[in-house]
Amino acid sequence: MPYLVRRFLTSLLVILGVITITFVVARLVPSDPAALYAGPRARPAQVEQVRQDLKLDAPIVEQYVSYLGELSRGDLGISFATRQPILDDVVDRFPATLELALLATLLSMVIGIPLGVRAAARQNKASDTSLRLLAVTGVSIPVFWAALLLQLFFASRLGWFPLSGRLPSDVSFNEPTGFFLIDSILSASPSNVWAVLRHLAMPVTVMALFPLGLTTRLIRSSMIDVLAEPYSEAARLAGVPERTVLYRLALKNALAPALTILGLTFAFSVSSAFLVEAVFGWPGIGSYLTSAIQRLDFPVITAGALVITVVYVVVNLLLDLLHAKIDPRVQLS
Amino acid sequence: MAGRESVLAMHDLRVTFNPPTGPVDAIRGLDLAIHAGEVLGIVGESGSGKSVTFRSVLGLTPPSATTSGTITVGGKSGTPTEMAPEARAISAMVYQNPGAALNPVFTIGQQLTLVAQDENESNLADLLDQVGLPEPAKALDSYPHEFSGGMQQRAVIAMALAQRPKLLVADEPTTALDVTTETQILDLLVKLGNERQIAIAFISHDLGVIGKIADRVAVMRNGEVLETGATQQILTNPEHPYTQMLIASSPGARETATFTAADEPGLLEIDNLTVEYRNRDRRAGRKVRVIEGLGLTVAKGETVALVGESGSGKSTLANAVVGLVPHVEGSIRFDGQDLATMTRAEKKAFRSKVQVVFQNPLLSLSPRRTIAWQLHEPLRLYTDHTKAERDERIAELMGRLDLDTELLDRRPHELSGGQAQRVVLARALAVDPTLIVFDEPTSALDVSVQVEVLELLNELKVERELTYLFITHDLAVARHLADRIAVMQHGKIVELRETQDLFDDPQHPYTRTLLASSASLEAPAASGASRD
Repeated sequence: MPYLVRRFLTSLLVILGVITITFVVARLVPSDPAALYAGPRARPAQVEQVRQDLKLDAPIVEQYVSYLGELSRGDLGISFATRQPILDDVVDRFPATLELALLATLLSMVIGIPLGVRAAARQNKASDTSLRLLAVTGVSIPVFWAALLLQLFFASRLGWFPLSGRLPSDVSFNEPTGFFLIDSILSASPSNVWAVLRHLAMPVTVMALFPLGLTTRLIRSSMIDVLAEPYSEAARLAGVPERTVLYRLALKNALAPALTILGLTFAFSVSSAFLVEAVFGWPGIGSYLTSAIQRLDFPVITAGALVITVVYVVVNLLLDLLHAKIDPRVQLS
Repeated sequence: MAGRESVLAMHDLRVTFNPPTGPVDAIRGLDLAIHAGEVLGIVGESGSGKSVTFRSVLGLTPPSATTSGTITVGGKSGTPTEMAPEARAISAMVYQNPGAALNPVFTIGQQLTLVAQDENESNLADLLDQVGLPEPAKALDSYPHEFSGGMQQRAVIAMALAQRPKLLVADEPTTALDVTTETQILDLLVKLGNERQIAIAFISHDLGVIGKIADRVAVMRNGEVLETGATQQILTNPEHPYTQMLIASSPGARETATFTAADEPGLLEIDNLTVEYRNRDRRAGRKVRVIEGLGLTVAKGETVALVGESGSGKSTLANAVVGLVPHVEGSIRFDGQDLATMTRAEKKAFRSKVQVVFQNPLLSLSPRRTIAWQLHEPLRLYTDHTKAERDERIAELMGRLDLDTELLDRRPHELSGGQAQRVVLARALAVDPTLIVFDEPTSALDVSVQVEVLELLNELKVERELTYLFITHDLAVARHLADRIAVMQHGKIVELRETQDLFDDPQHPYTRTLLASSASLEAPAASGASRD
């Protein structure tokens, strides 16, 4: 498919651009990576040794080219702080964040789409107004504040959910996918699944608030437009049941514009997961990057930017394909 | 008609809208009955209530609107609200814009299946065949955007028929179609109405179309029926003064503009012009020739009308003349200068000398700027007038075009269609052009406003020594205005004649088709004249 090939190549170009920019910025920051790597108590000779070992004394273009070479072999470099290969850390932590973001997006769509349809069908009535108010609340509540409230109430006071973490210390199972919900189901132990769900509940809820409010509002407004179209009127006039008009005939039209925004929200939630992860002690990519930024661990920061860019690019591509699937007028050419 | 059972009858129907600004009476005590198998034409200008009448009966008016009166459907009577379900059960609608009446993301087959639950697939294909869609089996699997406007309207009619209606409400169903397609759709509606004994309420602002299709006509104004009667009687012998005015305003009934021959060399000389567009669909070849080897000379002070159906290349020609699309072969010369070799300064002068007026004034004006700002803009660009001089010039133009200076502080959406188009005209005239290119400038306007604007154009042309290149699909409008008419088909001019000659003695077969399908009021008007 020539369209896919072209999109793939432009995606690569975007990724290359982001790599270049983060690489250059990391070198422009007024700090000495060799000194950082060597540690605070290193003597100048040791720092010099590190500089040679890490080839940081080579011309910047040479460093750039060798960095690209490493990346193309799947090598994201070595963390200054942990001396671990970054790729291992990313593979270890990325699924945790992705699991949160995917479930939050799924939850916001499963709840938000029917709410939006309902609000549109009862435009300007009491239920519509209250739904809109709820949606605005969801969008505007700060994530960390909502997280703290939930912890205070449901974890500390009621004790329904664990305060933080991804799993209790006494539970463990094989992790072939890194997505604990899937892994726990594969372990065929209901108690494992239950433990995972209890840990997921609060962070997923908090993360879903923003996309939930957005979905409700977007679906509502595009449904109102679609329901005002003559084809919706014609279907109602022809005696097509209201449920079919709303959820089959109109929703498919309303979904396409809303999906584009929702996909970007998903990608955004991956990159902004650090707040939720910080509050809930979630071992994801967000908390990993936050600590890297605090320690000026440049290889990790650059790698993190790369991973998030890839998420954006992939999500965008999938959205375009999905859009074409929904709307026959969209041509992939 | 008496003695025949009515499919739907309205007695003392009243509809009041209740916007925040205060109640508006849209329908004021209307009596109307429509009988099985007849085509009832409902004619009136926009705002006369012709659509609202049927929408209120079908329960399609907004919930805030109040209705009263008696509706009778199938022997049962009641208030409009009580009877709306019965009325909906026997009715189906055909809309003005067929593209909007079909759901873009479902196939024709899927949509037909939903409205016709008791039909199977072969019946559906049969239905599409009856409305004249080629390859019905394939059409079932097609999406609406794969159809032309005419085919879409046929699909909409098929959807309506699938509901087995007794009453078909057709609201301006051919307004968005070109002339030959219009004729086909009208013929189809008449045929189906006869075969299936369906009553058709045909709503239109166009008396010409009504004259071709309706058995009876009801003339509406301000929410009232002024008169009803057999079509021929209404068109040839209208009683109400308003009906007489409507018939007189219909462009086809007017006398032809007199030709003022100019011996000067052509102001605009188009020679062997070819315009191509890149084709999106590779399989159909890389490029489409929209205009091919076209030649046309427009003399100073002359009005040349370009007529043809949509897709014939008329608008592309307009865009090429003003330099909006490039041409691949041939030349366009304005006042002796070739468009392709003009310098920057010459281009700038050219752009003020040649102005364009497009079909939709609301799309030609910026929605966010005041009228004053938009009228100042060309003067700021092309003249070095001071603010005071510009104000004076604008005031003079506004006065000439019957526009109240109060409008200057408004934004386009606060104007009527006729006012907005006159603002666009004022903007074009502001920089003293010599040539104005019009692209369907009156198609979006009501009939009476349309005639006003055409009259105004004729006057302005004489006053300001203007030259017009006038593009229209409406032969009646062309006749009203043009000295010469060029008939375009497939990117070429197939006939170019003086207006009267063209109407008297069309040479090219395509011109004859156009003339034949043009819904002109010539016949009734002519017999009206002989009566005097």
